[in-house]
Amino acid sequence: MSRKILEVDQLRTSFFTHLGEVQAIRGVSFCLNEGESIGIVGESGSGKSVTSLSIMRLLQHPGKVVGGEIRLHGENLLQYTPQQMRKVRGEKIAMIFQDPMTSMNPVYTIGNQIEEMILEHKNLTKQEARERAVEMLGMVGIPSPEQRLKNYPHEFSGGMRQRAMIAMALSCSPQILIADEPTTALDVTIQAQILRLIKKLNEEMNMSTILITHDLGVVADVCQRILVMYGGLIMEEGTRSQIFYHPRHPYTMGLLKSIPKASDQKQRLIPILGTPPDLLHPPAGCPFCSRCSFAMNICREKQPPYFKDADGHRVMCWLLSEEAPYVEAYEKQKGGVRA
Amino acid sequence: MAKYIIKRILYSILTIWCIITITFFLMKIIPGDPFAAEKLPNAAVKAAISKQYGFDQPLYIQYVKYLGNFVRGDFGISYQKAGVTVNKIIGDGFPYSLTIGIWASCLVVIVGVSMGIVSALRQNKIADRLIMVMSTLGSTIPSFVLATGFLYLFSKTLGIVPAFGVDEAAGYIGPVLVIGAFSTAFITRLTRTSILEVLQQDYIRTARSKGLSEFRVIVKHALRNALLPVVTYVGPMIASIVTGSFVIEKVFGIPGIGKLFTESIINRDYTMIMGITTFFAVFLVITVLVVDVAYVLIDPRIKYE
Ligand SMILES: Nc1ncnc2c1ncn2[C@@H]1O[C@H](COP(=O)(O)OP(=O)(O)OP(=O)(O)O)[C@@H](O)[C@H]1O
Ligand code: SF4
Ligand SMILES: [Mg+2]
Repeated sequence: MSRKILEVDQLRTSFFTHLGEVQAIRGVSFCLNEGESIGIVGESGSGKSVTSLSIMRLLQHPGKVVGGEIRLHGENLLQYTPQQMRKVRGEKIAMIFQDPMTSMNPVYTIGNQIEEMILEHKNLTKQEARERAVEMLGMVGIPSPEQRLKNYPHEFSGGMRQRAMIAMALSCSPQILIADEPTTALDVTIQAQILRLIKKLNEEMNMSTILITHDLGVVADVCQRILVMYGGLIMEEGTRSQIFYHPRHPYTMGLLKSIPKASDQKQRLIPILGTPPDLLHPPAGCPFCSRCSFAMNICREKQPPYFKDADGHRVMCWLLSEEAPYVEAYEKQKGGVRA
Repeated sequence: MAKYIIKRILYSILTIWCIITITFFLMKIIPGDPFAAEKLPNAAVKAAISKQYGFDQPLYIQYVKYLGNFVRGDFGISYQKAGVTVNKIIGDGFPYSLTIGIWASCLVVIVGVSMGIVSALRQNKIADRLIMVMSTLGSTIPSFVLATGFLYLFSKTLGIVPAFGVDEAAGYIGPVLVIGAFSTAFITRLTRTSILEVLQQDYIRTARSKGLSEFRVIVKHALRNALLPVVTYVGPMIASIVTGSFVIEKVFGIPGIGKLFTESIINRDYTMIMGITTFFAVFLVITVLVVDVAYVLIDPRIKYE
């Protein structure tokens, strides 16, 4: 039985703007086991980044966690002092961000930025920190790391910079790595290399990973479990095969239809029509209601609870209720993508 | 790096040459001459004076001569104060302006940057509001009003500083504060805006996600980037402060270079105008050069352009 390392419990995060309270996260719960790799997938604005920033407690004003708990090894991070939180960041949970172009400070060398993090958390001399930085850069596949250490970020290509970011994030051997769209800004071949690297390091270092992306295709190879997010809620959670081969939520089905398939060149990508819900005035019922082709009356009135489909597979959709009518089109799509 | 500096020096020399040339020919085009106002006894005397100053020679010879003299650091003799060299006049007036300028520049940089930092870090709190009100006042009240107000309060009413001249060290306080006020206000705002902008950058979030202390995030990661635009502004600012201000020198009774310059323009004292313009040009170009080189040292991205 794998041990839970991180539990997010009924997390609610809002932004208090001058227009009112934007409820970006509206009760998200999930857990991460030791050594496990999970993916959080959803469209832009679904709350993926806000979830990860809430975990790191890096939300900027006017964002605020308004409810729930985030437990690391059973301890609620939301009750940590800023001092305690600093020991968590980088040392226990490390993070890499979407745009490697802007995520590194342009006026310091790559080496300086990696060593700085090592010196902050480990009791090492400058020399030892430098050696560790060289080792890390080598590990993420940067050639002649001793020389590259002296380079500035602008002297690295995008892919190299993201590798350096990974080297930095992993330099203190964190237990959890949160990667927020680590490959979105990179071109496709580099994207695959970086994903392979994350997967390899995840296995080698026995680290847990949360990979955030808007592209289901990205998590397919890397993650064992997938959470599908929409409108600040988790719509569906399941193992990789449950999500890909037995999707139950209409939104997940829509996402699957929008992944390009290498095997079928002629197939057209089908985007999900409509716009995400207004989180300033979140709908009373199912957030996907206005875009769902199976929407029923109850969907508009009441937010669906989680229905359990199989072990570890939960779905927030009224169609799984026992009282739901038989919908043929829906039943047909249950097969998901068959490769 | 050395190549970059050499390139910059060559450009600077070119700039100075352009300024001298343009000023020289502009002086010649302007109708009227410095002796028009004088009661010269007759044409013969006028011709003699013209000859003494080299006016009888063709323009290009005058120009080449001027350039030659300039390279040797000789700006010629004043038209108005007969027999006194321009070098001597500048040498007498400039030290006052320089002293005031250096102190004012220090004030501007130290006070402006610190207030900007405080303001940014306490955004929308009382300290920030207060500083913003002060900096709005500082940048909108004309300097002669500030100067008069200062003298009224500290000299006439309180009697702490002399009303006129800089014979005592206390006499410098007023001019330094008044000259520095505008730029201090400007730098405060510039620093504040720049820090607030930098704090939104992704690399600041990265720095925080590394578990660094807030102090380190601000001092190491935010400030160095935030001060880049400030450094760009500081060069020309120092040059303009050091080259003096006619109004302020007049109000405080300082025999500085700003006053000399204005007087020489009114008197059409060509050699003086030429001399001071060239002197200012060289001064400005050197400050800009120093700032550019400093910029390269703090921003590694520029070096290889
Ligand atoms: N500073 C802010 N002020 C107000 N609302 C915000 C702010 N930041 C985020 N939000 C709200 O939070 C919601 C979720 O944003 P988030 O950045 O988590 O989306 P995301 O899923 O990461 O999308 P993306 O794929 O674009 O990164 C947004 O829809 C937005 O309404
Ligand atoms: S609850 Fe209703 S509206 Fe929401 S996804 Fe299910 S069927 Fe569609
Ligand atoms: Mg995001």
